[in-house]
Amino acid sequence: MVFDAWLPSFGLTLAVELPAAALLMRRDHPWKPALAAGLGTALTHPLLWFAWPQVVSDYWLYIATGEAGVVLLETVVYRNLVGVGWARAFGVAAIVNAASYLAGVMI
Amino acid sequence: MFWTLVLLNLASANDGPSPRLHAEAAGQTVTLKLELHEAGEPGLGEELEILRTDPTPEETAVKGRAYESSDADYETDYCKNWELDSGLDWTCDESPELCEDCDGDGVNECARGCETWQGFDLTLACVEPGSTSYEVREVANTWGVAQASIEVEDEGRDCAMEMADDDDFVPEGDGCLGNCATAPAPRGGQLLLGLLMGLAGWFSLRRD
Repeated sequence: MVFDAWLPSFGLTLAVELPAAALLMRRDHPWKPALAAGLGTALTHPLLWFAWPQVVSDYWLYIATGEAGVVLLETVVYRNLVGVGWARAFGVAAIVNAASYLAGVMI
Repeated sequence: MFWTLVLLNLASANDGPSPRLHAEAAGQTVTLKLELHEAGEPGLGEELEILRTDPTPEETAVKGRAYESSDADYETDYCKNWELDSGLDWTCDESPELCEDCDGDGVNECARGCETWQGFDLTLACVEPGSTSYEVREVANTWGVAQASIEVEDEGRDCAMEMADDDDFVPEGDGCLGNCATAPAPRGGQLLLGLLMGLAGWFSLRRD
């Protein structure tokens, strides 16, 4: 039942973040940004859904700290996998996560 | 006589009032109003969970947690007369001078005066339509200490995000946490948060 809800959300996140990362980092590498987005999402999305709510129950604290943590973790993934600087990795991570978060809010 | 004494003893062993649970529905959004007294049994500070008991199978609606007075959403006065149910107290008819008006209706109806309870609003953002019942339990206990039922109207929303068990706690697209114990965030706030995140990223990319 939970996975029925989690899977579409995970799929939506991938559908938004993979092309967004590829587009934003098209000059850095042809395919590594999408791979980094996929790996980063596979790492952080379950944590945000299943683990973080066990720690934080207030919605705003949950979403603010959870999304911040996701962006920071994915920054590390982008930096190490694509080989860009911290600022660029953070910028891409923040923008693609903002896009997928907003997509989730709109839907 | 022996059994009367036993029953009276059992009644007096219950030293505090049980929690109160009310349910209000606005479309498919249900607000559970859990009210606790500090001397309740169980009361403030004790771990309580709320289960949906109907329709079956039972599911956790609000995970076990301790409710503290500092987190209360509201306060409300009730008669300090819960012992009346056990026949151990007097009534307003016998001792009207001892009574108070706790609900503000102009009638002194509370035989032992008023006491303040702490109220907690727990919003279930999306509930399947139909007749629904909830029950408050102490964590690890199987008997209920308060119940409430509500008829939820169908407004065409698909509530696919119910909890499967105590350990599941999942965010919903509309900002409601999986057990929806926390009120859903206003959409404007969510949009603002997303835009701020995007702006932070944009500034970081520009700096690069």
